[in-house]
Amino acid sequence: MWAMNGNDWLERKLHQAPAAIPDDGFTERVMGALPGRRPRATLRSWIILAAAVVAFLVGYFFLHVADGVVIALQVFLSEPFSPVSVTALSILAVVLGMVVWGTVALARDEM
Amino acid sequence: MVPPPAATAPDSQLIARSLLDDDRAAFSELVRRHQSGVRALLRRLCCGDAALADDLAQETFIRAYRKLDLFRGESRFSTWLYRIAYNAFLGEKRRLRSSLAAPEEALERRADPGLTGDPALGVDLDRALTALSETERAAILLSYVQDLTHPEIARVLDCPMGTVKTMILRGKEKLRTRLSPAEGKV
Repeated sequence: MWAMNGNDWLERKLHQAPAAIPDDGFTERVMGALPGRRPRATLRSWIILAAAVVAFLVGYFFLHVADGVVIALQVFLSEPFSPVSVTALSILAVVLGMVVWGTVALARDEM
Repeated sequence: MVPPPAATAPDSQLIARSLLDDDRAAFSELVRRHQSGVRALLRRLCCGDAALADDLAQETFIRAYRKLDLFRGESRFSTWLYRIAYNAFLGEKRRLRSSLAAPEEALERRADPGLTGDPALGVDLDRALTALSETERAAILLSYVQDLTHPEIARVLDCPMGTVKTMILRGKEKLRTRLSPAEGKV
């Protein structure tokens, strides 16, 4: 049972509890370095929602994104794998990906 | 109802107070309560470089504060903190890969022998730990020093539980090989 004995001494050694590290002002340093008041989750949700609504209005009324989406889909339906339709849908996918990525990043990080 | 004093309140209550009321005293108690475990883990991951480990520990708690609303309570708060600490360690390691001292060199200039009860024993073990990969070392430390369960370690390291078991077995085998000439054949 050498392996068992071998594991026993190794596990004893690994299990030796490390001495607790004294605080020595660490907590104070952390508290001093904390950022300002965290936005409430509800406030954050409202900001994201408002940003999404503004982005929709700007895209719809000023950039005519809806027309672009319709045209891209029409081209794709008429010629599914033509260079034009693939390019148009790729651009659309990139734009949508950026919007989704931006929203997720915004939600996860501090604003 | 008057909330209990921070020192006696459970983690979950301190987290709630910190989140809902931005209660700094509550978060301060969380830091005080968990600083030792987080700093000990990081010191061992950083091969005893206490200054770097403490910087990363501070970064860990700041990140935890920023993302406290993402803590779902699916694991212990300490497990969540270890995950942030491990990610901070990996990020720093990537960022400073060229300027970080080699593990053996870091051990030579190590100033804190007090990570284990017996300094000589601690240095031996720490030296042997440098032979492991970062994930093997983290898995061993989380399992034996921080006493986390395998599912908790899988959560910290963000890998399947089978991988955790393999890493611990492989790590122990390497440690046994490194330490056995001095310790094992008794």
